[in-house]
Amino acid sequence: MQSKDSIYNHLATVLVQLFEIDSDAVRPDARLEEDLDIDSIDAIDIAVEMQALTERKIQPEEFKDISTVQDIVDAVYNLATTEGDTAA
Amino acid sequence: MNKPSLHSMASQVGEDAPLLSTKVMFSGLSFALFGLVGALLSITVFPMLHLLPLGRHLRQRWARKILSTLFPLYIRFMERCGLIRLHLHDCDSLAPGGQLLVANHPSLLDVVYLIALVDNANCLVKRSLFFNPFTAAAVRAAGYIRNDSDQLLELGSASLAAGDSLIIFPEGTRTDPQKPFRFLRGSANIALAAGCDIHPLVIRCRPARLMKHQAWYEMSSETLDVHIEAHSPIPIAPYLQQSLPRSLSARRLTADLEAFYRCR
Repeated sequence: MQSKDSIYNHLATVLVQLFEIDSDAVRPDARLEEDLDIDSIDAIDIAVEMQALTERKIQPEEFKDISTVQDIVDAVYNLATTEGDTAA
Repeated sequence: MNKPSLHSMASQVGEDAPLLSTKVMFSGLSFALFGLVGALLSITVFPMLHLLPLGRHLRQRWARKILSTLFPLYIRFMERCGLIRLHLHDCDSLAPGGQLLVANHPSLLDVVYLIALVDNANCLVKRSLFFNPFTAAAVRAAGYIRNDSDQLLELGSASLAAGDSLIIFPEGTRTDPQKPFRFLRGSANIALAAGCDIHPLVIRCRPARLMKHQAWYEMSSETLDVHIEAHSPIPIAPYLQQSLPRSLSARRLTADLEAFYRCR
């Protein structure tokens, strides 16, 4: 079971490595499109990277309503939790 | 049939501006013609293509053939009306298929010029054109790619691999002279995913008309000179050889593309 902190840390690493985003700019309330210049293709790349934590494929529509860094953390956390519940 | 309306319009605008009002009338006529033919084809030819047992690939080729036959006629019509003069520079190289073509997007008609020029062209188009009653049937039959597709890279690469030429306007919308010049990264990402060189086209319109924030009737008395220049391809190999994640190579390639267009 992943904590929100570990999801956030993994996401921050992905954002810095994959998109060369300044690590100071990565904050929970940072808006993906406006502040971090993340486009829809990047969002798919992020989804692929975050699959390691949810242990199942993330569908693009599950990432549709996301606008901030925290939104991704919450979405991945919820997916991971749901996955845990079904397994148990 | 056109003459009476021409005279009535000229007398309304006043004696001192007859040239301008004729332009406005022909411009309106061109738009009406585009809409009319678009609507007619949408309820006849394009639905018929779906009824015929052609298969998707052949149906797309036929639909594209129809567009690349009609658009040159439409351009000739506008040239006859004295609205535009199209000047092509080094555009013979556009003939072979499988090229990724990118262009700046100064005016409303850019996609018409390019589809007229390029045989069997696929095109990355705005989502709204898939729902506009005048264009939906055409863009769907021609199999154009929606710019909000989740499978942008897969569809773009598959299209290029199948030998289509793919037209992309990386600005995503018409150039906004009031905003900084910026490219979206879709074209760079597709080029990297498909391993295709980028063929840059530069479109210039003088004087500037049919731009963003301009209405179709904001014509000047001058004929619009449209220049389309094909430039040497930008090779993709150096970007692939950097062995960076695609997301980073796409950022570098997009920055280089922007720089190329800023200097033009």
